[in-house]
This record gives sequence, structure tokens and C-alpha cells, in this order.
Amino acid sequence: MIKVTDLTMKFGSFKALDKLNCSIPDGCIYGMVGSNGAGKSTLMRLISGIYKPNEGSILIDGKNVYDNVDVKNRIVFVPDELFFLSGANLLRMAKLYSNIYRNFSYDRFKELINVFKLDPNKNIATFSKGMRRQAATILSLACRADYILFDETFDGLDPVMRNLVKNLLYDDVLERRATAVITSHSLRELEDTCDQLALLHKGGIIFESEIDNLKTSLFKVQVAFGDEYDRRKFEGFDVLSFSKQGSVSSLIVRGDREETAARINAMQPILFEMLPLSLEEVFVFEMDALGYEFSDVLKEEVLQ
Amino acid sequence: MSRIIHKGYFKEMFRQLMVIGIVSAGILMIGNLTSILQHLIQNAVMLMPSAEEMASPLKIYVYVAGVILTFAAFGWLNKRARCDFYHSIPVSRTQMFFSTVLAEVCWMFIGILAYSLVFVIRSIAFGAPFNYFLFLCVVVNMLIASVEVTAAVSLACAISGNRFVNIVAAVVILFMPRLLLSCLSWFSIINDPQLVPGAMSIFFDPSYNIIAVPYAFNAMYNVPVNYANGWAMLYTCAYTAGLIALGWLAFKKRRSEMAGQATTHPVIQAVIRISLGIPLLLVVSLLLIETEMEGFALFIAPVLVIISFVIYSLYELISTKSALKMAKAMPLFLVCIAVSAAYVFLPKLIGSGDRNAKLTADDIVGYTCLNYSEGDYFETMLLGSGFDSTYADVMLPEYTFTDAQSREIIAGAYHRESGYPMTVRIKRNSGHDITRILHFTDIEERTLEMLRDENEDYKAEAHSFPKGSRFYSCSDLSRSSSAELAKVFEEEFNALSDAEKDVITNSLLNYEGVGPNITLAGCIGAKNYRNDFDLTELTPKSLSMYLKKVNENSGKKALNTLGEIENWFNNGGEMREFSINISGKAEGYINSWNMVYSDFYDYSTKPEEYTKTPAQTDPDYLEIVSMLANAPLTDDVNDYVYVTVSGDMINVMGLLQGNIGSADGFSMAVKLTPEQISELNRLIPRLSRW
Repeated sequence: MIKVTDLTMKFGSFKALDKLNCSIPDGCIYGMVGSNGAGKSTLMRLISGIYKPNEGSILIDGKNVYDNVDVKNRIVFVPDELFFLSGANLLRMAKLYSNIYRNFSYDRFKELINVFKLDPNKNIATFSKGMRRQAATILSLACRADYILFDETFDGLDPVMRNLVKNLLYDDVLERRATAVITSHSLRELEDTCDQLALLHKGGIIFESEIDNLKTSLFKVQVAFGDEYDRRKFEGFDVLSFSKQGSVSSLIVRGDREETAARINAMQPILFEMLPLSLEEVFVFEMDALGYEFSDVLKEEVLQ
Repeated sequence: MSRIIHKGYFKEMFRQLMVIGIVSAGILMIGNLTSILQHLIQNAVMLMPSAEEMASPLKIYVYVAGVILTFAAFGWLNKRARCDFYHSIPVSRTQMFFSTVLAEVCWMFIGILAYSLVFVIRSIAFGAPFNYFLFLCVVVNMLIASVEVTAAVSLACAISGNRFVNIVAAVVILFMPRLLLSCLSWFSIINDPQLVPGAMSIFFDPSYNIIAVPYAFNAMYNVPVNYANGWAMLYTCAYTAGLIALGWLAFKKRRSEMAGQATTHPVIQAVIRISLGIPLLLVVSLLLIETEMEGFALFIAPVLVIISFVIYSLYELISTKSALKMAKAMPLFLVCIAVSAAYVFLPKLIGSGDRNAKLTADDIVGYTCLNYSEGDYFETMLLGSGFDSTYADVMLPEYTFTDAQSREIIAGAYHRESGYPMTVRIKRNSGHDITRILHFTDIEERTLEMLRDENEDYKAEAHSFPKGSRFYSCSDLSRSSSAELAKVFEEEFNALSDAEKDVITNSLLNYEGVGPNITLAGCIGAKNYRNDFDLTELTPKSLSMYLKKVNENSGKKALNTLGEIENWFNNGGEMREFSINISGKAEGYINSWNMVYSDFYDYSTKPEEYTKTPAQTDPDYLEIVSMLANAPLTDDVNDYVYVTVSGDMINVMGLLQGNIGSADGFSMAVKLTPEQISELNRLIPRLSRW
């Protein structure tokens, strides 16, 4: 388990992370979303032991990460800006990884080479952007690390390859109980991949939840009653948003879906409908509830 | 050990440096191979290599390969993406630093040891005399130096974040501390000329830092490296350990995000900047100490201050790419000025204790004369490591004279500022030896010399047959013949008086190697010596044996060569140059001449004459050649003329096309009639045109 406590990271006078807290349980895919400068990459570099925090701690199974060889042997990090030795091919890079990572598996490496259909003898410098990311994915997955950190994982990959990488990640999580931490600008990219999602904004996590929970605990209710009513009629419900047009009102309600439905039905509505929310809508209302303007937290590109 | 060295990472770094390691070691080998080829082609006799001959290619290698390997190994520190990768992998910073340094050092060692091995094999294969101890010292020094360069440049990489600052920091780390110390000792000596830099303190002795000596300070003190100085090696080892420790700490503390920045800390940036501002200001300090600040000095001093300020500011601008930072850094230039001001006053403080010290004859146990003529202290300490040392040069500087008169003279000369300078090591009753440059009057200098010569032990040492590991060679004999001859010569030499020994012992400076001679090369510890002795009638058995062996070896070849030249003179042919060395002991003939004939000379000075045959142009040459070509061989030590003939075929440009006989020529001893000797004496002075 990755436990981040009161993590602060400064670059000169700029505070990239400010007393950030989060817990990433083992065996899950943990997504981090946020706009540029939110602190996603910084947090990834801190978790992978590249940066030393100014304050706070990052513990993996109770052990500090920074400069800890044993812990770092359980982590593999694929940054947004990839690194390969100059003039190296995949076999040379595999040699490098095998020299350094205790659990590097050549069998897995060969298997992944076949899956991605990359030429291991070809100079990586001649690869396209997407192929380079595939190469980095192959190398990282061959390390058989317990914690796989992907920064901007799907950047440059075509839809087929994205699905392939996602499936490979699922396999590792399911078969080896590995933990994947992935960041993205794109909320939709993470929506169908992650078990948990965190929203970073200005160096802090402002929202963190399991995706299933997120989607099922917040829903839209459209209801109409025969008599005149207002918001007060729904006292006792956790209403995040209320609007009324004529006799029909729309509510965003947090709570147990069935219990809420039963309670509303008991109020004998003349119209009642419960609609699921998209992840984007969930975020809009959660942010609103927390007092953030959604467009400030997640810029337009995040929603694409 | 695994906490310091990561096996996998070491293997990886070793592999990454392989190309540079092999290429640099290969380039280093070229010198060796060129030398082997040269000796094979010219069939030349290989002489005992001096320390510098052994070390020179290695010194360049240590610098160049050390810097390139380290920059390549730690180059990733300057790039953010690469830095992130290396810091994300499961290798601790300590393991990363030491594994990298080890990989670099391994490649350096491979280069140095491969070179050394080939150097030794080369020398053995060519039968050259070889001082193994000195060579071992040179190799050990170079191995230490390679670690030192690696450590210094690694530290530079650890504290800086871009290539420009890497280079500047490396230069500052490698040279700045020694520059500051050496200038301090230099300026102290200007204030007190009696002081000797190498004897003031190990910190002031430039030979105590191997990598700083060869280039940076050679000009200042003319300091060659004393490779056999164990203390200097230990000092360099300790200094290197310090650099490694600093490098490790800097690397451990270094943040990944510093990649691309100038330095990892503002204080480090300031130190480098100030270091760059200081050197030219030290010249200003020197001007203040040495001159009255008039004329040129008055003009150049402010110019130097301005240039220094420009360098100081430019460094900040280039390294940080920020004009604002440059402006903010400017006030600290005052630190540079403060340091240079300190260099005006500190040397006076250093010399003050010595200037106030008193020395009487009773305080002195004895003195050792460290130089006899114009050589300075450093050269004296290094006698034997070069090629220009005789056995006496190597042995005598360590002799201590304890007589009362010498002690009186030494005490009297203490603090005298003018006169004949001589570096002496004074042994004192207190047990603390001091080394000073004292100035003597002419009478004192001659008296000291006389007292030294009167000393029986000293005299015996000065005239003793060279000891230690020895190797003989005679210019026209094989190694085995030379060794056989040497046994006879040693017996005869030991039976001679001191005056006779002086007659046949050649000074290296004046020695021309003409006539029968024997060379004795050897070594005492790390010090090499070479003595050349003339073989004369004073050692008749040796001379006779020599003449006999020379005639057996090359007498007929020499006669044939002369016959061939005689034939050419009469018939003409391709352009030629040749020389005939003539010396010997015959009635009426005591001189030694070198007769030179050159077609090219004639062609270039008198082209109209060149249409004639050589015999028509220069009949006198033909007369001598014919005379020698038809003379009988002899080994009579009282009546012989020793002849060496060598020549080249050349083209109209004067370039070599081939040898007449062999490259080194052929020698022989012949008997000439008194009339022929008289004719030789008449003709040869005119023909010795060069």
C-alpha cells in the first residue's frame, strides 16, 4: 500500500504539492487527473523516489521510498518524457533493465514483444512516438514490479494500443495483484480503466473516490408532484443540486440509490425517474459541493 | 560492499563506457606501436627510457580519458528526462556514484596497464635497459592520477547541471587549490628569496599533486614530477579520497530537478564564479609585490582587474542565462579583490618567521649540497629521473658535509641576499632540517667546493665505478659483446687514479660519442643514470678488445661501403650524402674529425658544378675515401685510426631515399702510414664543412 502523508514539494518558491494526503491500496488501478501544473507528475516522481519531499512522507508498506533500493525494486516508473540509451534497441534496453531490476523477466519481455509486434533489434530512435511508448511499456511490464507508475500513459498511443495496454495492466493487477498508478489529462481515458480516481488541483487532492462508488452514489432524479412544492420538500436527502421548471424538478442526490427511490416513491410523485450520471457530471457536482468551480479545476482538455 | 557498489549498475556503466574506454586506450597505444615500428624499421638501439618518456603519453591519457569518461558517465545529470530515469531505478545514490566511478577507473586502469605492459614488452624485446622500479612508480602515480581526475570531474558533475559549468567546475576543482597554494609559496619566495617552495611545506610543494603538476605549474617552477616520492603519492591518494568523499556527498544530496541548472547550490555557484575572478587578480598582486607600480604595471593592473570582472560576470551570465542574476552577483566580486589583497600581505607573514630566525655554526650538524651549478632545487631532487644524470649526479646530492669550516660558511651565508646561489639542506641540532637557497661569495663557494673535494668519502664516491642495476652498450657492438667488454673495463677503471678516471669520464653535456667508448646505463632505486667512458690507451685491454670486436663485426662492411663510395665518386650516379667520423691514436694524429660530403649541398649552392662527376667536383674527398677503403684493419691500441662511415641516398629535394650501408653506419679500426696521417691532417679540416 502506498501511503502519502502531508506531502509538500517545493521548487524554489513554487509549491508544487502542498500537504497532500492519499492512500493507494494494493491491487488496484489508481488514476490521477488534473490540469497542467496540478502536481500529478511531481507526485509520481515522489512516489517513484526521484524527488525527495520537502515535508511529509511517502511510505510503501511502511517503508520510505527515497533512496531505498529494496522498495524501488518493487516500483517501475514510465515518465511522460521517455528515456532510452542513445542508439539502443529494445534488446539493449532489456539488458539495462535486467542488470538493474531484480525481477526483470526475459520471458515476459519476449511475450510482450510478440504482443506489441515491435522489432527488438531496431534502433529505438527510429521508432514513432507511439512505438516508443510501447517500448517503454514493454520494458516496464517486464520488470514485474509490484507498483507500476505510468505518467501520461496513453499519450501517443492509438485506440487499439490503448486498449492493449489497458488489458495488459488489468492482467498484471489481477494475476499478480500489482498496483498501477496512472495519470492523465483526460478524465474519459481513466473512466473505464481505474478503480479509484483522484483529482489534483494546485498541489493537493481535492477529491478521491472509487469509481464505482462515485458513479452509483450520485444520481440524477427527475420528479414531479401534484401539489406546489420547493426544495424544502427534499429535506433529509443529500441534495447537491436542485432546479425546478413548472412542476418538474431535477435533483442531484447523493446516497443509496434504492433507499432514495423508495423514499421518493413514498412521497407519491406523479412523475419519477432516476438517471445515471456520467463521470464528468459527477465531477461537476462534487466539485461544486466542495466549493470549487469545475472549469477552474479541470480545464477543457481534461473533458475531451 | 553491495551497499556501495551495485554489481548490475557497474556492469551497465562499464558497458556504456566501453567505446570511449577502448578508443582512448587504443589511441594511447599508438605511441607505443609507433615507437616499436620506428625501432623495427631503423633497427635502432633502444635507450633506457626516462621517467618522462614513460609518463608523457599517460599524463595526456589520464587527463583526456578521465575527463571524457566522466562526462560520458555522469552526462545524464544534465538532462531532466535522463536524470529522472536514473534516479527512479532501484540503485541507491551511493551505489550509483561509486559504481560509476569504479567503471570509469576500471577503463582508465585498463588503458594504463595495457600501455604499461606493451611498454615493458617493447623494452624487453628490444633489449633496452629498463628501470623497473621507476616504471612501477610511474604506473602507480598514473593510476592514482587517473582516480584523482575521475574524482575531481565527478565532483564537478555532481555540483553542476549543465555542460558549460561541468567544464568550468572541473577546471576549478583540478587546478584552483594548487594555483592558490603555489602562488602563495611563489609570492612568499619573492618576499624571502631564501625560501624553497618544495621545502616550505608539502602544501606548497607543487610536486605533491600529480595531476596539477605536469602542465599548470611546470612553467611557474619548472617542476617535473618526482614519481618516486612515496609521500607525494600518499598525499595525492589522501587528496583524491577527499575529492571522492566530496563528490559522493554532493551526488547524494543532489536533487534530480537540478538537471539543466548552473549549480546545485547558490554558494557553489558563487565559489566557482569567484574562483574564475581570482587568477588575473593574482597577477595584480604579483605586480604589487614585485614592482613599484609604475609605467606598464600601472597601466596593466586596472586592465587586468577589468578583464577579471568581465570573466566573473560573463560566467554568471552564460551559466545562468540571466542578466538579473549576473547583476545580483556583481557585488561579490569584492571577494576576489579581497583574496588578491590577502596575497599581497599573507606572503610577508609566511616569510617573517624565517627572516627573523638566527643560525650559528653550533646549531648546524652539517649540510647537503642540493645543487652544484645552475640547476634549481626541483631539478636536483629529480636528478636521475631524467636522462641527463650521471652516477655522481644521482649519488652525491645526498652526501652530508659536517666539517667546522663548512658549517661556519653556511651559518654566515644565512640571510645573505646576493652572491652565488646554492640550494642546501641544513641539518640542525634541533633535529629539524631546513632547505634554503643561500648566497655565497666567490671565496666561500670555492672553499666549499674544495672542502667537498678534500673529503675522502665524497671523493671515493665521486670516482667509484657505478653500482646498482647496470646495462652496458657500445655503439658498434652487440649487447653480449658489450657486457663481456665491460668486465674487462671495470677492472681497468678501478685500477686508475682519480685524475685518470676524470680524463676518460665524459660529461653528458659535451659528449659526442665519437671514437671507441662504452656506455653504462643503470639505476639506483627509481633514479636512472648514464655514464659514457672513452676507451683509450689508459684502458688498453678494453680498447684492444673493442677494436678487435668492431673489426670482426663491421670492419669488412665498412671497407666495402667505402669501396662502393669510391666507385660512385668515379662514376657518378644518384645524389648522395655521407659522413665519415675519424678519430684515433696514431703517431701524428690526435684529432677527431667529422668529414661530411653532400651532393645536395653542392647542388643547391653550385648547380653548374653538379654536371661534373663527384670526383671532378671534390677530388680531396675521393683521396680520403680511397685511402681509408684500402687501409688494413688493426687492433693496435697505440696505432689505429677509428673510422665510422654512414651515408644516405637522397633526392633533389634533399629527402632521404635510402641508406648507404646501414642507418647507423659501419665502424672499423685501420692502420695508416705516417704519410697518410699527414695527408689526412691536411685535408680533413677543409672538408669538415658542418
